[in-house]
Amino acid sequence: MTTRFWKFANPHHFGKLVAISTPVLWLFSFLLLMTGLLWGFFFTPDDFRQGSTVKIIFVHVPSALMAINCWLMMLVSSIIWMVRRHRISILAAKAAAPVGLSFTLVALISGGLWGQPMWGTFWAWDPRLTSFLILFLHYITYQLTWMYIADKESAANISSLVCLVGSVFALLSRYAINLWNQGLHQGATLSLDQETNIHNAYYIPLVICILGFVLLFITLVLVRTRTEIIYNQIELLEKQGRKHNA
Amino acid sequence: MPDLGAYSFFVLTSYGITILVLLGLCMLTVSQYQSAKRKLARLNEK
Amino acid sequence: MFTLIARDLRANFRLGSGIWLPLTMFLTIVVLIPIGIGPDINLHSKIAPVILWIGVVFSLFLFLDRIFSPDLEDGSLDRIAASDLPLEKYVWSKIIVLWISSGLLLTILAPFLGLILNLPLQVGLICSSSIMVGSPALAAIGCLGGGIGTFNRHGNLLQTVVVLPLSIPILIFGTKFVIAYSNGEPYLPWVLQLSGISLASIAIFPFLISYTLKTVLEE
Repeated sequence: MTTRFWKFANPHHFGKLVAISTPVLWLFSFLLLMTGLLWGFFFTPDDFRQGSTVKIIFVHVPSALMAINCWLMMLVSSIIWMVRRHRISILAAKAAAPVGLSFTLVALISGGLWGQPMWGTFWAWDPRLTSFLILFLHYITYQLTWMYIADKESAANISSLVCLVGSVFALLSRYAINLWNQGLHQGATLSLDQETNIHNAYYIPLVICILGFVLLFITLVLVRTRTEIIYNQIELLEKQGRKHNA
Repeated sequence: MPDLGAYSFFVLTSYGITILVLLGLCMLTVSQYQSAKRKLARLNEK
Repeated sequence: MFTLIARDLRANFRLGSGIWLPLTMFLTIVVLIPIGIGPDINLHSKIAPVILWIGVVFSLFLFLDRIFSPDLEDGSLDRIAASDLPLEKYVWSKIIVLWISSGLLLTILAPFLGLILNLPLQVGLICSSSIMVGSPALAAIGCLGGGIGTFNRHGNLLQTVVVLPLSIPILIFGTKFVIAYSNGEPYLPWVLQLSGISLASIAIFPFLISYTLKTVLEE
């Protein structure tokens, strides 16, 4: 199993994997997202307390979930880069960063638009919201290290370091902020071990939306990683061409 | 079109922004991929 | 290692700029924020710990390009990397120097600046002790920024921006400690956690920073 997995660390095999899988992935993520969002928008009842704003859950929860998962994926691939020096691993982290940034932005904006009618304010300095803002800051700084360090090898090293240190300090901030007070934000919506899950009418479309977001994330990261690999090849070819001419 | 009541602005805006951001991200990704592939093909021809 | 610390400290104090720039920065920030707020004395004393802490963070983080760049330019970093001295020890001495020549001085200055913010001297002393406990971690984070800044040829903008989000937990614990003290709540947990972060940072960051420096030297 492990050898089969590491086979895709070879850019050639990876390219084949992307070429075969992306059309299917695009199709399925599109279908799932369409089903989930349309179902959520048109065919769910209004909540007796929250009214129609409950429909925002179908964009808010999946994007927030994937924003955190994307950071975890970047952390894992950064560690793989630092330990095993697989180039695709760090390129995948680089490719995932803008995706995670967009998901974080979507989660923040949709959360604000949900908060305004429910809490009376777009933004509250509540533990969950604040730690998401901090996650957003960390995404931006991670992106900046890739933009500002010209040398690819150094940028890979430094960005993985930033990801590692950032994870630890983001967790510390989360812990510190949790000690402030109990905030406005409700607790976990989806958990396997609790009785207070949301009603089935919302549960099924929400799960479909989450699956759609997961598939979309995988698709985007695969295609973006492939793009980064191609850019690496271009750079290599140009370097060879320059040497050849000189 | 379901009746969204007083909150239609918030629901519609959040759906709209989400779909815009996701579509923009997909289009950006695909266009970058295509341009990279074209560039590589041009280099290989030389 | 002690010769390294002594050399850098002497350079910082002799040039003057090494200590006067952070101090001036601190003073300016602490003066600017109340001017922006206006003469609302009660509000000043309420947010004084936060103002002092923000001043410390920025005056430590704004001059990071002077930590490693001089050594890199005159080649002494290459010599140290080639010598028997572990790079981690060199980095550690840099953290100590940064802390003494800014964190410690700001600690001494903080209670007096607290007075112009209408902060009672006793609370000001607590605030400066929280700065003393927390600033080693800030110095370690700042040195990481200095290491990252050596890559950057676009005006050393990256280093400060990258390390600023890392200061968030320290800021929270530091200000919470002072606020808990002035509200008469139990404050010991906050200062213990803050010192834990500081100790862990000065133990772990030298390895991370020397990793960045090795990358710089390989480039």
